[in-house]
Amino acid sequence: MMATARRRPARRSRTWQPLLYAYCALVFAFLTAPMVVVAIVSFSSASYLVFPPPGFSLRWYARYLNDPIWIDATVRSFKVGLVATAISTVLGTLLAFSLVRGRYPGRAIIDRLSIAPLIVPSMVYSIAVYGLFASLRLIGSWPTIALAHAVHILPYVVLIVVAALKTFDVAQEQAAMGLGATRLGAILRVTLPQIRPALVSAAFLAFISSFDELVIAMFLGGAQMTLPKKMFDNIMTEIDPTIAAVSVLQIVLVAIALGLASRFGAGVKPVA
Amino acid sequence: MDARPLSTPGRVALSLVGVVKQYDRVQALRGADLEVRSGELLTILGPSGSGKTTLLKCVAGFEIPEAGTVELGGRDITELAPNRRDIGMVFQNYALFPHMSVTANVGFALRVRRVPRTQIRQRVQAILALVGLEEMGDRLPRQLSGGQQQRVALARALVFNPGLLLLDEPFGALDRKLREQMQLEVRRLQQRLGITTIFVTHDQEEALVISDRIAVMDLGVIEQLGGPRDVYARPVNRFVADFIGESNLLHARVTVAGDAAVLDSGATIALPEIRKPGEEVGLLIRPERLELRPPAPGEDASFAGEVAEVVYLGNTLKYTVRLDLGSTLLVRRPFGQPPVFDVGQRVQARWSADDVHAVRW
Repeated sequence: MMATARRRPARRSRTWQPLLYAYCALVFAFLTAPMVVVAIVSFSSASYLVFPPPGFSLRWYARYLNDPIWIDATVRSFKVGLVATAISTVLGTLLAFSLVRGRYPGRAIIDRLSIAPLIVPSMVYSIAVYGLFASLRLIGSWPTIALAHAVHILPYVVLIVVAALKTFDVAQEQAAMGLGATRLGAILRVTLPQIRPALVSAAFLAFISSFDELVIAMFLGGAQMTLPKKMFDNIMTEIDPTIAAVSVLQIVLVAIALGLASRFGAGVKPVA
Repeated sequence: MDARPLSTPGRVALSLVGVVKQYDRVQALRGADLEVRSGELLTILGPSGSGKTTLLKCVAGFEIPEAGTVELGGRDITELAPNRRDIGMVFQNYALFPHMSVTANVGFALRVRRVPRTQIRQRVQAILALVGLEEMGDRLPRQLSGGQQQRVALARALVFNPGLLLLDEPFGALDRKLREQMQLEVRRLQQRLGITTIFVTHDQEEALVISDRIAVMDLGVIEQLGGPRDVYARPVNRFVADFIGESNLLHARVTVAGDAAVLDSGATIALPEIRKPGEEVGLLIRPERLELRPPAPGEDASFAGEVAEVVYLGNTLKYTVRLDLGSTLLVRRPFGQPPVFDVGQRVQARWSADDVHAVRW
C-alpha cells in the first residue's frame, strides 16, 4: 500500500515518451472500459441490456430499491461479510502472531495450511462444507455462510498480517514489557496500533472477498440468497439492466470502503 | 529524582551464578558468574558472539536460562516475567514507540502502573528536564535527532525508579563526537542517580571511559572482571590482552630462574615478577610504553629493526617496526615529541622492565 517514490534515470530517450503514454492510456482504458459501459447501461431506458442505450432513465435503480428480494439479498450479504470479516480478522491476526513469534514443532506445517483455502478450488471446498453443514441441518441460514466465508478469507488476513509483523521490531514489544506492561498490554498498546494499516487492509480485502463470493453462498444459502446469488439468478432468468444498476452501486460501495480504508489505515497518528 | 534513596555502595545488587543458555546447538552462555555491586556501572565487554547480549536478556527476562540463577536485590528472578522485574532498559536502537509522543513514551511505565495522571505529568516533566528535553515533549521520536532519541530512551527507562538499569550498546548508532559526549552524559547521570547499571558494548575504548568495573566476555564465559586500569594493564590471559587496547603480544618461555623469558627469536626479556620455570607465556607490552631510539653500538641487537610504516593519528604517531629477528612491534609516540622516524630508518626499541606483563599463553 505504501508506494515508495523511485527516481528514474534522467537521461531516458524522449522518443519513447509518447509510446509510453499511449501504452498507459491503453491499459487504463482496458481496466476502466467495462465499468464505464456498465455505468452507462445502468441509466438505460430500455428494458433489456443494449449498448449504447436508446435513452436515459433511473427506472433500474428504482426497481432495485423497491424490490424487497434485492434489498433482502443486499442486507444478508452485508451481515455475512461483516461477521465473516470480524471472525477472520481476529483469528487470522492471532494465527499470524503464532506463526511469526512462535517457536514450536509443526509451525511450518501450520504456516502452509493457513493458506490452503486459497489453493483448494472453491467448488471442492463448497461441496465439503455443504456435506458438513447438511449433516448438521444448517443449510439455508446466513450465519452458516458467514462461517464458511470466514475460513475462505482467512488466508488474506494471515498473509497481510504476517508480512506486517515480520517487519515489526520485536524490541519494541520487549521494551513495553520491560517497562511493566503485560504481554497482552504490550501488543494492544504498542504492536497493534503500529500494524493498524495492515489490519485495515486485511479486513477490507476480507470483506470484499466475502461480499463478492458466489459459489459457497450458492451451496449453503438455500432460499437465503446473498447479493451475488441474486445477481446470478437475475442473469439466468431475466437479464434486465437492474443488474447494471446493482453493479454500479457495488462499485461505489467498494470505492467508499477503499477511501475509508486508506484514510484510517495509512500511517500512524500521534498519541498524546 | 534527587530524593531517590542512594543505594549502599559495595553491596551486591545483582548476582548471576552458573548461567547457561543454549540456542539450538550453540551454547551462548556456558556457566556465567557475575556479581554487580550496588550503585556501580559495570560494563560487559566482548566481541560479537561472546554471549554478552544473551547475558543481558537473561537479566532483563527476555530469555530464561536453562541452568543457573539470577538474583536481584536478594530475590530470585531467574524465571520472573520481564514486566515484574523492575528493570529499566535502553535498547540498541532505542525501541522508542514511534506512534507516541516523547511524553507518552516516557510516561508509558507510569501509565501501565496506573499512577495518577497529575503525578505522571510531574514525573515525566522532571525526568525530561534531567536529560535536557523539557521542550520536546510533544514531538514524535522520528522528529528527534539520534542523540535526543537516546535521551528519551534513557528517560523512559529511568522514570519509574527501577532497581537496575541495562544499556545494550546504546551508542552504536551515533557518530563519534556525539557518542563521546553521550558517554560522559550517561556516566554523570548514572552517578548522580546512584543507579546500579549494566552496560553492554563491544567497544573497548567506550568500556574504559565509562565503567567502574569491566567484565570481559568470550565464548559464553566471563574471562576477567576488574577495574578499567586492571584489565588494561594486567589482563589475565591472551584473549583479554589482545581484545583490550592495542598490544604487542610476544610468545616466550620462562627461563629456569623464573625471572626472565626467552622469545621465539632467541632474545631474552626480563620479567617484572617471578613465573614458573618453563611456562609458556605471552609477553604484553603496550605500544605507548615502547620508545624508539636511533641504534647505538653496544646495545642488545635483538630489538633493533627498521620502520616499516608510519601512521599519523592526530595526537600520536603509530609506527610499525620490523625487527631484524623477524617479529613486528607496534609503537605509539606522542606527536611532536622527538625523535621522529621515517619509513626505512633503523631504530632500536626500548622499554622499562615494569612495562612488561606476562600472561598465560
